[in-house]
Amino acid sequence: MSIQEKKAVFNIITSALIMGGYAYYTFVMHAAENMPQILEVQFWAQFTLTMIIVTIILKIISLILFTIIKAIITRAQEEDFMDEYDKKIEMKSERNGNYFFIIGFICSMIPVAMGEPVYYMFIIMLSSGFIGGTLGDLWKIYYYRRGI
Amino acid sequence: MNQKHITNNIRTLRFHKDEMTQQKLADEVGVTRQTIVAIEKGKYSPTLELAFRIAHIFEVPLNEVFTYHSTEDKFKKRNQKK
Repeated sequence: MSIQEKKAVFNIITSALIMGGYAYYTFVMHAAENMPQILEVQFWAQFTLTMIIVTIILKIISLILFTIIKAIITRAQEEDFMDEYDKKIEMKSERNGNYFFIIGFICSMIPVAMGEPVYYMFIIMLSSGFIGGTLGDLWKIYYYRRGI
Repeated sequence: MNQKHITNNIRTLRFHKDEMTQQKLADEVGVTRQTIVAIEKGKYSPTLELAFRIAHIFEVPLNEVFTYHSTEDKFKKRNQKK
């Protein structure tokens, strides 16, 4: 498995852990204070904004850890820079992931349009963002294996 | 997705260049070894710039590195407007 594939797998795992951990922290550990607010738009806006900040910080930390672990294991033998092949794969895989997110974003409006509670919209939107990102990484692995 | 319409002789050319390694070629042309592997296997068609760089390293014309098979190329011709 190449370093780019390992990075994609690592990204999938960390994204799942961060998203799952944050959801667990909000809806299980602090359920008593958060669950009554589930119908409020303000709660979801705060949840989303906090999640974005938490995700960015944890992703930076995880990337630093990944680089350190990789350097220890491989003794810096593997190259870690992006050439034209990597950039093309990244563009294509991110495009595919973004398509999924756009579809999810549009679909998230449907429950609200039908008069359902607002949390459906946020759950669908956030889920499609997470799944879109994961699909992007999976596409990356696929393109590295099959070629473009 | 193997490119059947564009084949290459990089493996042979590397052999004739004192068994040049993929890593050495990659370093010479400024890409990763993985990219050279993908090109050799026909999984990726490089940009014209990279193709010229590879040909330059082997000191041969471009068409000695890459060969285009027009009969294998399944592209759609555009209808010309009259």
